Amino acid sequence: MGPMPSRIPLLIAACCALWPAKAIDAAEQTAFDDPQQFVKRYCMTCHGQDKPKGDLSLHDLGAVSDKTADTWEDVLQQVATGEMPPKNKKPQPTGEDRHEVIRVLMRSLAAVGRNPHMPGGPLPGDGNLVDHEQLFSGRHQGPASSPPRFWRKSQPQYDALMERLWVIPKLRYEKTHRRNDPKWAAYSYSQPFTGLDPEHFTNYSGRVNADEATLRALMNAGAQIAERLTSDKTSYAKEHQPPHAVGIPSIRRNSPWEKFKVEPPKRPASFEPFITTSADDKATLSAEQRRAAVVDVFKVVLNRRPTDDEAKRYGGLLDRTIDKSGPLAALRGLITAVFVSPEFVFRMELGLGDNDEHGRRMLAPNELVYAIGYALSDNGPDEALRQAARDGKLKTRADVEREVRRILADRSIEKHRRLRFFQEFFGYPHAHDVFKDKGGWNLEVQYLVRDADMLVEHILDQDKDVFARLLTTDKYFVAFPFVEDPKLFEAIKAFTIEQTKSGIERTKQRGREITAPKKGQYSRAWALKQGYRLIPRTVHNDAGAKEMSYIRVYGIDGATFNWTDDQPIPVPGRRAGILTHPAWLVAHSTNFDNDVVGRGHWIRTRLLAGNIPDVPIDVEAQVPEEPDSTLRHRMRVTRVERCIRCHRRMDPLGFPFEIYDHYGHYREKEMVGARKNKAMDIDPSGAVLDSGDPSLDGPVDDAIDLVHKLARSPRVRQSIIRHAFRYWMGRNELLSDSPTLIAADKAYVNSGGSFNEVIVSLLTSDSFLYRK
Amino acid sequence: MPLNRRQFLAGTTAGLGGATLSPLMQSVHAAIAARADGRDKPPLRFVFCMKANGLWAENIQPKGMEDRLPFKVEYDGRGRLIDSNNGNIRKKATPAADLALGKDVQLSDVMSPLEPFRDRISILQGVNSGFNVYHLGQYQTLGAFQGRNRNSSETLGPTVDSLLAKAFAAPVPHVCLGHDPRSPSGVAYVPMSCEGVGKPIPFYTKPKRAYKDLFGVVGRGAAKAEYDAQSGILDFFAQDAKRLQSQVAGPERQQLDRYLNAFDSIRQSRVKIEAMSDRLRQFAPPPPAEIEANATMKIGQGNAEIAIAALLSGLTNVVTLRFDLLGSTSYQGIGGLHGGVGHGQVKNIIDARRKICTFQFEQVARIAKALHDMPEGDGTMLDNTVIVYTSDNGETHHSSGVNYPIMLLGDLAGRLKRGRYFAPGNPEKIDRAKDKYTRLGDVWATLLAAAGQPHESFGIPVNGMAHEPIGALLA
Repeated sequence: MGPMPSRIPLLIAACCALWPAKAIDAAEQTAFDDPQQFVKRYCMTCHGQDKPKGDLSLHDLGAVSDKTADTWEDVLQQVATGEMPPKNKKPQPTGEDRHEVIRVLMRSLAAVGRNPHMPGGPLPGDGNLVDHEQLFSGRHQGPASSPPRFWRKSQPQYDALMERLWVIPKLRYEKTHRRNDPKWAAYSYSQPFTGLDPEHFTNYSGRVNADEATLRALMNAGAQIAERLTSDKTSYAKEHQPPHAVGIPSIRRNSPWEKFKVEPPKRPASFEPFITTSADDKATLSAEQRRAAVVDVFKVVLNRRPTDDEAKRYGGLLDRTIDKSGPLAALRGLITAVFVSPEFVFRMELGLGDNDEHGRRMLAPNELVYAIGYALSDNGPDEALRQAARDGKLKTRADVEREVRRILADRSIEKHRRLRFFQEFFGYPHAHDVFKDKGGWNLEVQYLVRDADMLVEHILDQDKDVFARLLTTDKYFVAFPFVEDPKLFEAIKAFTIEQTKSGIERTKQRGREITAPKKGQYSRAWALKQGYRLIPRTVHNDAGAKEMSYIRVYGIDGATFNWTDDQPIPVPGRRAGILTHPAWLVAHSTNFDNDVVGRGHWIRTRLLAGNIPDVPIDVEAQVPEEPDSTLRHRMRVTRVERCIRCHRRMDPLGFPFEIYDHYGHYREKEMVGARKNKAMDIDPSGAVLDSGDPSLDGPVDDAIDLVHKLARSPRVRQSIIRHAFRYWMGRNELLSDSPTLIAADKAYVNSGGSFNEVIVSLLTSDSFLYRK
Repeated sequence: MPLNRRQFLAGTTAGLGGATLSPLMQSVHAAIAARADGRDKPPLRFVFCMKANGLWAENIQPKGMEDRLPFKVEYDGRGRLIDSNNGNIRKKATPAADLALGKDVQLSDVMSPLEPFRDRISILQGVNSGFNVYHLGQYQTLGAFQGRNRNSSETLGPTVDSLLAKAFAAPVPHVCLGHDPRSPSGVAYVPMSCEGVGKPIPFYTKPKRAYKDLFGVVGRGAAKAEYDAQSGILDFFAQDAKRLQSQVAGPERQQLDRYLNAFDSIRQSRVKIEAMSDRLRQFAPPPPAEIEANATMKIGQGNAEIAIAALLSGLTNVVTLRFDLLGSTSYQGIGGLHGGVGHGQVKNIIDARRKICTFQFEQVARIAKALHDMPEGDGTMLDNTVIVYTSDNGETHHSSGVNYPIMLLGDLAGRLKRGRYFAPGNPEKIDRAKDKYTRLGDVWATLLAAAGQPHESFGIPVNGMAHEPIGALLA
């Protein structure tokens, strides 16, 4: 879904003007303005006339032309990703050589109609094309700034509005990533916006579109919401709002649950005359009444007041529709209109402040309000932030820092954006999308994802040594529902016991015994009989206890599990952080196997800031189906000459995770055979090769060894910070952003590993505050 | 006895002669009038009916021809073919054939709803995808290009249905109807058709939603008021566009334009639809009830109604009808497509597949019958139509895409041969990037060629050999 531009142009755009000047060998500093000379010098040893490597001979390639453009695009990609020439071959081009040949090739390819320029810049996956050493070398002083930003409303921002309007239930952790439960159909909820490739950051400034399909979907959604806001159906979705959302089936008067009840927001009083006035009496609607309705529609949909001009224009639309279709249809039309308005869909940051000596403009206070608000929360700016702007207290960098710190410290302000960075960075919520041939798995897997969310939030709350702890902790959250209100949580725990007791009673009345559950399964009745604490039961936890048997994935025996609210807890087997968490392992697995290559690719690109070229189009990449072999043995296909060059950079990072199966269970043997009943030894050894951090390179024993080594590496830390930059700036980093990245890295190190300090540093950086 | 279609057309335009019309409206009426006068030939029509989850070759193989399949049609207790070798037996090459099915062809049981049209049906077996596939062909299927990985959802070029829709444009050039339980609003990017790179086409996933957009103009009361209010909004923003556009420049302008232009585009499409409201009233189905987003069969039936009305009224000439989606569809009383039918978690996988196919063929038959019942020229609308039925995923649930079973119904005004059984006889082992073989893209090139459309640059052939029409199918 969404635009999928072809690869090459993006890549070229990525290299354009960004490629670092890397002075490896001063003696070889010759700039190349002729790609053929470059190829002659650096490629011919292997790709000459005789027995060329990879069956690719470049000796008679010729200049860039229509005929040779395909091959030159390949050359460009190989050179740009640093794949070629191979590191162990001499001579090596200098950074300048690469930079120059990329620049010239791009221009020449454009000249033959290859259109290698993509306005708006490259996508998240291309970010690592900027050289890591250069970025953190301290040689590049900026000044940093971003181009004008053009933000389309993001999917989560739309969801947040739907929650605010009580269209969809407010659930903190369940399906925060994507709402795909058919049950939601009841709310006629449908996301009108597309996102970027969900495998990466989903929102980049200027990279996500709104088109005719968006408009049609928004018109539809707007009309439905208009109907709800103007009819008696305002209590829609009530039963799924708190406290119902967490498991209280019905609230009778005087029940103990009543005190937790939250009422839906009342519709604005200004809507009433439009609902009650008939078409014949339309003239009785006064100008004040009409104006009040416009103001309230803006407040409800856009969370702000209309400007005078907007009030006039939308008022005009309201008047016209009243005349044509009557007051009620007109009010509904107005709500729909604001819903589809460009102001609803887009937000711009042009930099309306004064020019500085570098020709940059700082964001003006009314731009900062939204820039800061949406950087931290899907709900946008809170009232205090707006007030600060109105009071003239949102002008300077210090003002921004004060407000960002205030919001970060205020627990009452929803900050999903912070959690979502780690969701999109690690990609573990995709576990939902990986089909497994096992009944009930689709229900079980969501608890694994929620547990991972809880773990990330917990570590973010403590805000100490965040990256290392995320990568190495051996304690997980297990079957821990998120209930915001502690009193409600207590009530739910007590209610769970009560329900279980009455269940036991009913079983006894039928003359049956409470017996130990079958192997590994969880039963609340049994747990209670044993005197264990129970897994709290919430609607979105489980219908019965069966789903809770998912805890077996952690190696926990359901029959002896004594739940605790003092989490995270150590789990059996060997685990180290998110990368060995079942949610991550499943997200990076295939239907029947571990995804060795995918995991390796992930580590190479996300943690080591490395690049891997795309799979060549003529490669039909398939691991052979041999039921009696281990996956590692079957993966030998990647070791052939053509493939190994890239796969050596991925597979040795993926094999260490063979100590887990594709459901995420820890294992000491791999079961093979058509019936999966033959145990084979596992070889989880791997290696880090050419990471760019010499202290990191070398063999590793298994996943535990690997992630502990990674967690100690400054390169890994910096790679995560580079990704945080992309996420919050909505674009890839340039060499001119070097000061921003170094400052964020320092803020992290000096604060003992506080991620909040990284956020403060990024949001007070020139890259965030200035436009040029 | 149905009315003659020309009578309808004449009736519609008669009352409009003296009205004052905008230039756009005039051109629309001129086109309608031209057709009514017979100055223009009837348009060709294309209906693409697509299913998920693979299509078992035997389910569309005519009776008595089972021995032409590369495997014996005998199942074990779990619904697998005997000697299935993990399903790999379905990936064996189909022997070459080019035969007339004849008037007395015995359709397979699941195709029995199409019995009245058996002499118009051709069956294709053993066509290779030409791209990598495993679970989902997605846009690759009708686009004949290969994405970066198996199950790619990339849009790398126009799909054949969108090309035909452009060539045989009608007030609504391309009606795309699908099913997506995750999109209760009724509009979603069902991954099937795209206009080009990065331009997926949205599908209506609920009949009620499609009805509102396509036939809403003929509604009354509150429905009419809503339609009018929406038109007012479209006008408001279409006029407002200039003011906004003047405030933005650079790449952002393109982004903004794309959205702002949508107001005018929908408005214009409404104008065209409104111009034929009398005919729409004639053919519009009763307003569909609200159907739950996961009621696959009801939605399929409702979509067939919309398709029929859109074709009969002349609202469109090209319909893409997507019955189900692998990841999310569950058939009531049968089971989920992925775990249930695909992985055999249902009780009887053979029965499940047959039931699903039969249901889909029933919808195809309804469309065929409606077109057959409507006179056009010297024959019926069906004479100028071809209906394509296949899966986006080839031979089975986990496919290699070496065998796409395809059914064609209709000869497209005599441009396609009727009643053929065709298998290209692709070699057993194919290197898709190097070898010469018959691909799905060649079948679509056949349709393009039959329709008189350029096919030379259609798709992105992995082996670099342009897609070519299949001579054996062209009349």
